Amino acid sequence: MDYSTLAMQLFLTGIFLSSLYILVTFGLTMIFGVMEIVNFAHASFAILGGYTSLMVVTALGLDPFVALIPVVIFMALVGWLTFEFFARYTLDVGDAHVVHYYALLLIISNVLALIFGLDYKFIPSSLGYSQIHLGPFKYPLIKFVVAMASLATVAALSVYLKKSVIGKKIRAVSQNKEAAEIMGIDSLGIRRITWIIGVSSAGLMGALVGLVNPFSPYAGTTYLIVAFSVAILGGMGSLVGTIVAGFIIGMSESLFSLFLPSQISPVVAFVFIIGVLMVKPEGLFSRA
Amino acid sequence: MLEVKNLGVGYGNLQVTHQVSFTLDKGELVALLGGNGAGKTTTIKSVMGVLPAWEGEVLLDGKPIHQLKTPQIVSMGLAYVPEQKSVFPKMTVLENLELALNSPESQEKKDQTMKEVFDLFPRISSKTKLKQMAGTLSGGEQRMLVIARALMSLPTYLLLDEPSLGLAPRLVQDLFEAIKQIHAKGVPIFLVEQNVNLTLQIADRAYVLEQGKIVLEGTGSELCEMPHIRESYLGI
Repeated sequence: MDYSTLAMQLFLTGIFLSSLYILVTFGLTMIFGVMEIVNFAHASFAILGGYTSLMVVTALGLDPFVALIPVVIFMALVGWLTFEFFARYTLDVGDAHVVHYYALLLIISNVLALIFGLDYKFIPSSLGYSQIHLGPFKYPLIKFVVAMASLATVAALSVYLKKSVIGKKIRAVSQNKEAAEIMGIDSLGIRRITWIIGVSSAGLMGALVGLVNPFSPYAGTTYLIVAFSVAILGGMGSLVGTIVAGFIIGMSESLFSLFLPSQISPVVAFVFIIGVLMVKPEGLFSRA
Repeated sequence: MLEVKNLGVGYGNLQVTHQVSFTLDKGELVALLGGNGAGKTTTIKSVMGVLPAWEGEVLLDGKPIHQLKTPQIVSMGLAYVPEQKSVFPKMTVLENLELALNSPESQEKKDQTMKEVFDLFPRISSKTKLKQMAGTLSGGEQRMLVIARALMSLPTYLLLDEPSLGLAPRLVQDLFEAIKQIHAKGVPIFLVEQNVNLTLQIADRAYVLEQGKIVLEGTGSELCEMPHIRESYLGI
């Protein structure tokens, strides 16, 4: 392998990792920004999305990319139910909510384990082992498509938050909840929408990542740790920070996989975070 | 008419205001005066549903509103400018203003209202200012933006909590001039202030709150003549 091929390989792997990291963190940091909730159950919603996709694909025989539509609809429903019967009661309990969300993580993981067992599952795709050819260089098509789908989702969510009326209200509540209420904005309604968007985007991420990496009911933890790293590095609640930090962590993980065994390369991200937080404890960007 | 009857409000176990009653009629500028800790902000927050009323009632055109939540009260036409900073710092000045368009009527008349608001507050109306993040404005400009934002919702009543607090004297003059003009357009204003001198010059009527109770009321000129006001508040 010559150097240019190697560089391209690292670059594309970096983009692939970054896109997933950004997508999973986007919902986490949005929920933190608007609801002041550290959602430990976030990645288990991603795994739930993975299993939902698997069911839709195997039972209905849908293409996994078409299946993303019913997956997102189902996850939005899960989001609505978990808000009405769970999240809305945790809004005023202060830091104790962390325990509630850890419990939610255990409940979701254990229910999935009961239903699906502990075996690793994998969402089959018609793209299989196809490769894309960029000049002399080859890369798995499925990874490329997953990365593009993740980035497109993040882009669409960003535009929605920036331009739509509800998006502006979401940002308003995130920046100043009291001021938003005296502007007549129904902050409970905005927090409900935010939670539903967060849960759905996590489910979508799970359905995408399940096309590339096998998953089990307890596999969410890996993504949870990454999502927290990205969120903290970028500044909790900052969406721009999430995008920048997602690329930093994804790219550095890919780059260092060259020199370090694959089990160790994620550690680089943490070393990087510690370094940044020593200089800038609030993260790279501030909220919203 | 906005009517407050025997309002009592507090925090924790401590009741701060007792039997506070006042009215604000169409077209009036009514002031609530008093020193630090008298309960002025507590009263205005309770009217807006930010703090729950412990006793008494708040009536808007005869309908009780003291059990409603803030967004509902706002949708009935009350606009509130709080004492503390309340811009959305990472949104542009224009986005801040547009967030107040919460009724079909305010959306329809947006361009016209915006023009009027810019005439009142020229400091925040330039094209570059409108694109600027609200958090980067000076303290005085932020205060003006919050009042401008409240006006964008075409309020039927405007409640201002110490708008002049912490502003440079020249800006205070500009601000009172703007309040006078808003009043001249017929928007009823409830003004909570510590700047007694300037307030009495523009207010139709005023109430004086001391230790959570209304101790005096009268027209601006009547209060100016009262020895207690002259000694305690005007320092004459």
